[in-house]
Amino acid sequence: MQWKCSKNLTLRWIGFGFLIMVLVESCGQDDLCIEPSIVNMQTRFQRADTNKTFRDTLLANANLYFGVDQKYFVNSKKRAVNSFPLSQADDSVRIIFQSDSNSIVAETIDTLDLYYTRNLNFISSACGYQTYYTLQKVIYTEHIIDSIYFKNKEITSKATDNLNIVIR
Amino acid sequence: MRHLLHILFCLLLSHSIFASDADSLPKTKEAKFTFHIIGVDVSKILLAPFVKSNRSMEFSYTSNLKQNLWFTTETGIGNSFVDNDFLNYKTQNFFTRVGVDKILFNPEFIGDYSNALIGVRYANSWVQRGEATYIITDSIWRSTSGNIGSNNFIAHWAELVAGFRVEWKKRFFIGTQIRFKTFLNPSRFELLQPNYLAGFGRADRGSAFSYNVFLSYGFGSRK
Repeated sequence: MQWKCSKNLTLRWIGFGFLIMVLVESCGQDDLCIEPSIVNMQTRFQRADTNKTFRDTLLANANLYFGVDQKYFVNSKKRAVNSFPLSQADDSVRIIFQSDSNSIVAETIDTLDLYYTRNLNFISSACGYQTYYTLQKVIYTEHIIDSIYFKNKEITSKATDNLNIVIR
Repeated sequence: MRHLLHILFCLLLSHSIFASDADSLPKTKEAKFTFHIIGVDVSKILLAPFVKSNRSMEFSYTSNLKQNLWFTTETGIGNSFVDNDFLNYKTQNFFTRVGVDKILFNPEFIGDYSNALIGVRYANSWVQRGEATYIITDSIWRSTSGNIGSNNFIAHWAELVAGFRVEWKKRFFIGTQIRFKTFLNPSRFELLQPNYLAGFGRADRGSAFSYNVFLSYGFGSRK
C-alpha cells in the first residue's frame, strides 16, 4: 500500500477529527447531579471476648432510630456495621438504640447523644453542597451499651468506621 | 484506526522531512511580526442559543515570530450563572492568554499560512463571583440553607493547544483548536468553584477540555 502524504490531505483529516471531537465535547456538558448530598456516619457493634479484645458482634434483631422524632431506623439483623445520617442543620442528634426490636423494655434500650461540628463540602455546581462532620463527644446510657469509642472522628463521603459501640 | 495511524504517520513524517529541509536551507534573516491574523471565536456565537447557563466572547491575535513559530494572544469576556434546586450564583470574568504556536508543516509557498499547529498558553483571568445561596435538602432530619459571600479573585491556568488553520479565501482563515487546561491556583476555589469561566470552560473541576472555532482575517506582508 502506498502512503500518500500531502499537507492538504492531512489537514482535511485533522479537520474531520477535530469536528468529531468538538461534537463529542459539546454533548458532554450535562448538569446532572448524581452524587448524594447526605453523608452517613458508620458504627460497628463489638463485644469484648475473654481476652478483653473487642470483636465484631452480630445482633439478632436490633434497631437504630434517627431523624426528626426518630421516625427512621436501620434494622441490624446479623450485621455488625450500620450507617445513618447526622443532621445537617444541627450540631447534635439523638439516636435510639433498641437492642431487640421485639422488646420495648427500658433496660434493652439506650440513647446516644452525638455532638459534632459541621463543615460545608462543595460537590459540584449541579449538586451544590453536602455536610462533613467532626465528632466532638458522645453521651450515652448504659443499659446494653458497655462503652463507646471513636474510631474516626471525621465523617466524610468516604465510608469508614466512625464509632464503635461495645455491647455488654 | 487505519486513518488515525495514517494521520499520525503523515504528521510525523512530513514534520521531520520538512524540518530537515528547512534546516538545510541557507540561513536568512527571518521576518518577524510581518503578518497578523485577528479572529473571533464563532463557536461561542453560534452555540449561544443552545447554551443557557453561560455567554462568552473570545478574540485572538497571532503574528509570525519565526518561520515556524507564531506569537499568539487571546482575550475574552463572559458570564455564567448557576440556578438549580441546590445552588444559585452568578460569575463573570475577563481573561487574557499569551503563548506560542509551533506550526507542524513547512509552507508550500511563500505566504502559505494554512497549517496544523500545537502550542502552549498561560492565561490570567479576573473573576467576580456574586453571592451564592445554597440549599441542602434532607428529608430525614431537616433541610438547611445558607449564603456564601461574593468574592473577586484572580485565576491562572496553563493550556496545551492543538489545532489547524486554513486560508479558505484570500486573507480569511478558519481554524479549530482543542485545548487542555489546568488551573495553577485551584485552592482559590475550594469554598465555591465557578461553574464556567470564559476562556477556561467548565471550571468545577481542576482541569478541562475545550475548543475554539476562530474565523480570522489576516493582514500584513507575506514574507
